[in-house]
Amino acid sequence: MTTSWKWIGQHFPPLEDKRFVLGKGRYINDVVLPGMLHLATLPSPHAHAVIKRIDTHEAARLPGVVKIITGAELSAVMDAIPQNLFLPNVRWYPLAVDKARYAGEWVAAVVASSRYLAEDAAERIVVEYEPLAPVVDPEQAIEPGAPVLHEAHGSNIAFQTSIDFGDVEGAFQQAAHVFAGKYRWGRHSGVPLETFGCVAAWDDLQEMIDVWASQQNPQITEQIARTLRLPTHKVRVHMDVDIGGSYGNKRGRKQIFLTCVASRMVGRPVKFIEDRMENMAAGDAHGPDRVWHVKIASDPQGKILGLDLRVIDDAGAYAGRGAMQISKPLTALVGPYTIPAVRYTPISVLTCKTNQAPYNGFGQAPTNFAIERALDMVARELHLDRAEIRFRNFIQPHQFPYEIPTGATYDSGNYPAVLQKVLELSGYADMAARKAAARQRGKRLGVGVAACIEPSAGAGSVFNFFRNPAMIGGGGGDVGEGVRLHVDVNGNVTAAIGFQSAGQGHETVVTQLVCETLQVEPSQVLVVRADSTGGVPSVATTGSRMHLMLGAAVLGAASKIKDKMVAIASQTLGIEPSLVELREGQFVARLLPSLRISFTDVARIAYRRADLRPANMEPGLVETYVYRNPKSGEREDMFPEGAFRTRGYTSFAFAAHVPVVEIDPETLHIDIVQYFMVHDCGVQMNPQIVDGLVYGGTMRGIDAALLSEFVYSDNGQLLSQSFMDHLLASAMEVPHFTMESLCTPAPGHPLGAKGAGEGGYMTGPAAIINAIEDALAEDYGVSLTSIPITPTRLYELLQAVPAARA
Amino acid sequence: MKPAPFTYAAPSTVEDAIALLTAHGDSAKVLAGGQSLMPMLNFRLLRPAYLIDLNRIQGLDVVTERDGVLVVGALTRQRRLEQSDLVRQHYPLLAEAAALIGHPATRNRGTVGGSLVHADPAAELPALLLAYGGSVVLQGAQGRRQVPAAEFFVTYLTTAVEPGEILVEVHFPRWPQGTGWGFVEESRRHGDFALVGVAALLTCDAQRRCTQVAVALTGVGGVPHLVAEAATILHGQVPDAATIAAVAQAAASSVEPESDIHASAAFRRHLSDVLTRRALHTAAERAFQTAHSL
Repeated sequence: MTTSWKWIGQHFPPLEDKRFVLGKGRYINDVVLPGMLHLATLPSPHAHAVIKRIDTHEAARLPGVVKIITGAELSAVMDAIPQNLFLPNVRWYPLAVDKARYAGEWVAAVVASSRYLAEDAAERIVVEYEPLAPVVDPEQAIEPGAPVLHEAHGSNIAFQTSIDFGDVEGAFQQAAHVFAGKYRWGRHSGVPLETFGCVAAWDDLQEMIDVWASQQNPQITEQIARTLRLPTHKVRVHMDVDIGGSYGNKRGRKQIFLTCVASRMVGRPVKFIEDRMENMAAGDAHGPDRVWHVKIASDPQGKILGLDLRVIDDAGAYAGRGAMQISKPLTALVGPYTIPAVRYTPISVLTCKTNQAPYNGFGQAPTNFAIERALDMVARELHLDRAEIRFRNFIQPHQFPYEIPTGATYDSGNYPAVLQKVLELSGYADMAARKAAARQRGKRLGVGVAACIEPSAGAGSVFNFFRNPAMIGGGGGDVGEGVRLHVDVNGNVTAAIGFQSAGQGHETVVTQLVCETLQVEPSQVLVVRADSTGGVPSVATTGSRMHLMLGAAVLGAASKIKDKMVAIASQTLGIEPSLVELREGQFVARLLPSLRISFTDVARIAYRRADLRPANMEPGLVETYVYRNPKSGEREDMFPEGAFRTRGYTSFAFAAHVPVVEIDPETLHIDIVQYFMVHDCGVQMNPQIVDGLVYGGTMRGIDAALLSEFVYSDNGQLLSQSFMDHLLASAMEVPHFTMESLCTPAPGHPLGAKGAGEGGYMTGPAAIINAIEDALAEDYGVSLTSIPITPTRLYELLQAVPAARA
Repeated sequence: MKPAPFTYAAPSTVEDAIALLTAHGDSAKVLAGGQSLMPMLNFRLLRPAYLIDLNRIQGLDVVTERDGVLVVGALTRQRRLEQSDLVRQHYPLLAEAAALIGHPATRNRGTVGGSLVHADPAAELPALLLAYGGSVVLQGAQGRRQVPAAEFFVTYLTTAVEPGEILVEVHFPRWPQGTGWGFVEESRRHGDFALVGVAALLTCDAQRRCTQVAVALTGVGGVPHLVAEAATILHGQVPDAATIAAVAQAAASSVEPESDIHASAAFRRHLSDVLTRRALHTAAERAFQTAHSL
């Protein structure tokens, strides 16, 4: 590993910015095909109801209406959507088939010549419902006698288990203190400005389908093939659409399948762009929604001995990929702490809500919230400083690689240094004086402290947990990432990647890597997106993996290209290949630098001059490299029977946040006045992009802590289904950020890189709530257990404190 | 989220607009800045058969003073209210509060008349009109009539505008020298509708005694709420912490707020107290300053 890079880690403004800032991005709604029709859906007004009858006659008579699809018709021509938990008796289709299981669930779809007409027709569809009692609250859903959503499945529990890692009983028995807390992580999500969208075009002659979608998961190709009962090579998913925001939830399985089936039915291209209400109420894009029961055992000095985490997770009406978010936390189940024993009892529950989707951190954010809240509880009870308790429990730098009780092995880090740094930046030691000064001004100032582990680049084996034989990409599944490099006859480079981006700057990073490895200039590089038939294997932009995976993949492909070019140069220069090196765009004889041939001349020989190439060398310079995730290939049978363990993540980044809040004690207005963070994601390929990822993630943490919530009424109606009521932190709510980073390289990665996309959101909520609690500690001493915390909820909470009524 | 079908008309005079409105009755809706109407159309919460766009009508956007009254044309953009020198100088409460209506982008489109006719229970302008003791001018086929603010707001999203009538002018009387003002609101985020907002105007004589006062709240019920007790408590008194607190408590006990997902009724009642107190303190301070220079 060299530190004298010319391009990697240097200031390199994102290449994509220009087209985004100028409004020249190519989003899904910019995809317009000749003869294209538009799809709209009809939502169920009931949270739970039997569909008795659907009358489409009047709707079908409207001019411009081409096709009306009901759930019954749809389910006859496609397979049920694959679910990620093993639930053979839970049947999930894009349209409700005989029962609607949440308010807003789509019961019919209209295909018409415009979206306007499609909506007009949808209104005229008459559906006769027999309403049933809804099940909305996840805790009530698992009570005996609760209405059951899927009768054939028999209960509302989609998955449950309880596993002890280490001697949990012993830890709690020997502990000096055991504290218990209940925490509520509210239902919220990323809610990108762009809703989900898809264009599908069925080709009758080739019997194949072309698909464009604002999706982040190339594996959708095999899922389309399976559900539409097509061979995989007859599904071409284009990857050249800019995704207008995702943070993990741009999955849109059912939306894509519905659009594809609709196109096949009508024989014309069909576009489906969710409107905001379709997106919020039924887009399967909500994040985790959890009730935590946490017990924590400590010795007299606040050293944590054991942790007991019981979590009820509201998966929504069907178990899509989001429901698997209770598995990733296994890989960082004790946070950055040396906790020797942990019990994990996850219960995934089905309720009358749209499905849970992956959201920033894949379930680790709420888990980290629970761990950090539990640590604060111990600190409060034992009168320890909140930073001090973390220092006492941190895994120390000399302990790496460090295997936590679940089997995950943290690769490297310096957690005390990161926390120390952020405390210094924030002036943590002087907070008492600042609190007093704020009080003089009539405000209450509080400072929060929270840390988090950010597992980066997961392998499919993390989902062994669910033992779902039907799951695509599961088991010991490999999750390699490919790059194809093509050095053309003039020495210019095309790099093909096989997935779509949602603003993470992948074209920039690949360009930097190509420039670094092949010693070309950025003007010589073009990054393109191969479609699913293009032979560039890709998995998804998930789990803070892409910079890390792409980095290694470009290195691998460039190495293959270079080997071939060196062989040509060696022949031309008449020296051994081992004596040739690439230096400033020239292949040079190591010992006699005047003996040289240019990169371009070698490229020309590779294509045009069989006479100058080594005998039998294949013409051209095109090489693909698929980087294998080092953690893939792990199978359940590698562990002794009954002792489930997981190793599925490659590297582990770390972050610590210290927000400073001011609260108006009368209006309870919460103002984040400063926000300090320090993180360590190893070697950063593009610091500007990393900064953006961390800022963006932290803004989502502010949403989660203070603003964003999908609020359901007791009868299952979504009360916050537009931006009138669903609040997200806007540019006006961005606090003053101060960020620094440290660098502990990942030992297992060729460039030393770790992930950076999720730490902001994982750390933020715990840190902010901690700060609010601190601001109110002197006057009220309340402990905050749920998010989002809003002024009105604070008011209710403080009203219950006797001192407050005075 | 596309509107149901409608027929669009863009008349160039108020008379033509009224004729269209009269002809189509309840099936027509008037479009001004569109900041509330367009989303409601897109949500299909409203489905008028006819949309009558006033934006082509000339002369409905005056901001001028007539006989000590600020006359604001119905189509005046909210942004202009915020930036007008006349408004800033003589109607500072209006200018200050206008800056809290949504965001610059929405204020550039949103109109003064549109906001009043829409009568959102948490909007700023209805409370401001009430605090000033202003009125609106409605024009119909039979001519014009003037309706005081107190009679204009009927209930949620409902005003005294009769079928066939268009709001053409808004009148804000200028308050005398020695008037202080305060506008305070609490919202979830900058630019959101207020959970509770309070507009206060307070005039004092050279001895600091209150001669005239108005306190109006928004966000606390179906219509903006004028605190009747403000005058009885403060008239002839020097506004101090005790009298102001009494008005604030009167405000809190006279409002009838509702709960929604952003704030409980109890919290809104609490905010009514706190914000009334703050608005009046600011108004009193400013009144003392100007009264002093009388």
